[in-house]
Amino acid sequence: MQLMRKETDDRPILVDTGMAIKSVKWNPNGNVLAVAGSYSDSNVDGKGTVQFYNAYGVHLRSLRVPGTSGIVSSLSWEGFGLRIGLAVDSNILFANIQPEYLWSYFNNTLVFAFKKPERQDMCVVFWDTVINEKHVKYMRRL
Amino acid sequence: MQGHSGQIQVIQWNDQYHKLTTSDEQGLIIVWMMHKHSWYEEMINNRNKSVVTDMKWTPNGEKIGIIYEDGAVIVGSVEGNRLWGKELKINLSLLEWSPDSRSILFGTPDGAVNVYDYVGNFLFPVKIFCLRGLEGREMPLAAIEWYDSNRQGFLYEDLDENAA
Repeated sequence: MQLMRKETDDRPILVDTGMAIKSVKWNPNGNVLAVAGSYSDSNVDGKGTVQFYNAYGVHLRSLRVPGTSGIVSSLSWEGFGLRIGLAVDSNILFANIQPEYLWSYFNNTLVFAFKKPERQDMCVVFWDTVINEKHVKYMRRL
Repeated sequence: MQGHSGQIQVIQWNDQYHKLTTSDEQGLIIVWMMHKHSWYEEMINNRNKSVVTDMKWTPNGEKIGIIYEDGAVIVGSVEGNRLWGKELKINLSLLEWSPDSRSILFGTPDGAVNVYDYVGNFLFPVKIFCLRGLEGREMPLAAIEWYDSNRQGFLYEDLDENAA
């Protein structure tokens, strides 16, 4: 697999997934690439696997795929990038994606930050878990 | 949704115009649209020759590129007009538009990828490094996916330019 910055990139990032690749899809944010494939050698547990990489080709996670053949014939990201759907044999399997949120907890309050598609800054939520009240602030360069 | 009698091979959304496009092993293409909570066949196309290996809408949803196994390329508009066609005389397996819809990439099963402009003129081949040393092995091209870096999502870190 090669990751290119542009169509004329002479120095793409090369990634050897070790798999026979069947399907590749960027998440809606463009910071995670899901690569579905299968290992040909039988000593690897579970033939069908989805590997997740960041946009620089750094491996993030592996997901073993259950099923008779385990072969993923297609994969698709949900619009918010928090789930993927996999077509395996005659089944559709869903997997949840848990991004690494910036977060902290103090004074019964959980603070977490994420980016909204329509905004450039970060959405910071202060959630008082005792009175169950949420306050939202937007911050740049968080 | 009924309309195909053969196995479905390609399914593509047109997000901008809320359409769904499907093709089957007999080369039949159906463009579906939703009306009053039901799906209707808006357009049907069959070249009656070869089979569709890939099809993709431009990111703005204005045009669709369709490639056939026998090397035929058809670009149509969302209104249903045929814009241009070409016989590349090589097997084609994958297609991808650039994010600005100004160029189109065609991939062959043996791993060659060529860039054409949006009216079908050949520009240049993409340098494929990942197949070096693997020549002669049965490794069909699996995917060409071009992410638009202008489409800012919920990025947690900044990416440099676009990654294809």
